[in-house]
Amino acid sequence: MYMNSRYVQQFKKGSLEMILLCLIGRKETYGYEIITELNNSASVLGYAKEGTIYPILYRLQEAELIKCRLAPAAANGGSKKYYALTDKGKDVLRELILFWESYANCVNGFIASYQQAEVSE
Amino acid sequence: MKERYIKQVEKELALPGKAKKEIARDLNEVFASALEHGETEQQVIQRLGTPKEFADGAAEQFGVDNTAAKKRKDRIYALAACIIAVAALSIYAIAGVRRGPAGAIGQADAATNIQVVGTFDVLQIILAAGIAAALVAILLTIRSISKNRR
Repeated sequence: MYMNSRYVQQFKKGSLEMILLCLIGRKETYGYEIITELNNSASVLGYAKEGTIYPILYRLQEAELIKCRLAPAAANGGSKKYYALTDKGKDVLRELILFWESYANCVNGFIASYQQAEVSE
Repeated sequence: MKERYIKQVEKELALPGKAKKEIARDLNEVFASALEHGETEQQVIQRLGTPKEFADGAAEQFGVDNTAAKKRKDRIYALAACIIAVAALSIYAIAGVRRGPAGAIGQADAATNIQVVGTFDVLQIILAAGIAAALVAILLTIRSISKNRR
């Protein structure tokens, strides 16, 4: 019932960049594949839209975390853009993952202490 | 529908031509990929949002506040219209004073009269231009205020 609340939206918004970096870092990929991948494997995120994903791709590209190359694609309006991580992108993703892990630990700690207090009440 | 969508996005984007072209290319790919997988243009547009939403979202990532850039443009137009209005109305006022009140002593001879009539026409045009510019300035200002409230 609260899955679409503002709080949940905030979580998603903050982590989508890291998720995209992971997806792109795994192997070179293109727009439609990213959308499909997100919709197939990350249903908890909700429906991924180009209107959400492309602005983030532009931001990651502006920050030089990802790079792209155009490959000719006859059935695809002429060309297809493939995204890959830059070296800087790999470094940033490594840092983000470390941060995410310690952050999750920290949040889990608060959750555990809350649940304990609730039980002893 | 697809062409119109892309054109509208380009129109909404306050970005350099190179970035605009890139975004238009990306949108072409988005449509082509989706159509290839049996989706309709309408479905794709639903996922992209309105042209304005998509343009604002994209421009923001390039470090440009699309809405602010457009507002700035509106403000420049309003200021220009204001300057034209003030200039035209002051020319009208100054010329009107120089001409003196109708029927003033020393203005009644025939030669002057003809000149006055001629000047009057030009002045009328200037007055009309001044009023038009003032109206444009007022309209632009009202529009930018109502946009700010939204």
